[in-house]
Amino acid sequence: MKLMDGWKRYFGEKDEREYAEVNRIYKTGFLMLIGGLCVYIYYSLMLAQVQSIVTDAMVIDGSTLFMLALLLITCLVCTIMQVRKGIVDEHVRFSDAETFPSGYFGLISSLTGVAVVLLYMLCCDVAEAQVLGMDQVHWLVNLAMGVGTGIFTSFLAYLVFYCIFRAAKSRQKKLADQQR
Amino acid sequence: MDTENRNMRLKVARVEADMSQAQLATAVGATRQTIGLIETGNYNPSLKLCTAICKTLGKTLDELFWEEG
Repeated sequence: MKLMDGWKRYFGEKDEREYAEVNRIYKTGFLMLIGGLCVYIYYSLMLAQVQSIVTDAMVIDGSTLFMLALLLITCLVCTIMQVRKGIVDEHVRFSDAETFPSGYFGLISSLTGVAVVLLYMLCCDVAEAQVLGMDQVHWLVNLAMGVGTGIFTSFLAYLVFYCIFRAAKSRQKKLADQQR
Repeated sequence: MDTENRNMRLKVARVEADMSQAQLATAVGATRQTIGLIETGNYNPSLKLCTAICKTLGKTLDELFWEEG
């Protein structure tokens, strides 16, 4: 404890504007890392799937599984921390809403679905072109599979948003009761 | 116009207190750049920082930060 106090005294006070700016900068970096990690994991899984056509055995390397676990844990920790603070969204309109803002979260879920369709198609097409050659790329099949995955992801995201909303609202009430 | 007046009030109060931006910044636990940005109206400080500035300059929140209309 004394070490921590000494540490804080050594660094001195934080400038609130620079602290907020640094947080904003790191948020951008965090989103870029998460996006990049998603592309890497998805591509690795697609590559393993396409290679299994040639080798008859699907091998997913340990680093991909580690990164997948890291991604899931990171998202889970962030979600739990957000819910524990009773935060639904940074926009007042949606954060203060008493009923689930289905339109807003429906739009976000749909955009997530579209991103998954594009990611699926891109990764699958590139993996097939890399392993099997350009003439073996199943463009339409990949598109259909991508759309299916995208629709599933949209519903899943919507469900997750609904659960987060309910949990955050419940937490908001608990925090309000504690303040009374 | 209001914003300009408000920021001028802070600058005038600081000059009256015979303090530089760097001195005020050190006294309130902020950087000189932040004080400069508040004076030019490019940063809205938190209530905590506003209070610290007012205490340091011997002014009230109304005198330095209140905007009419």
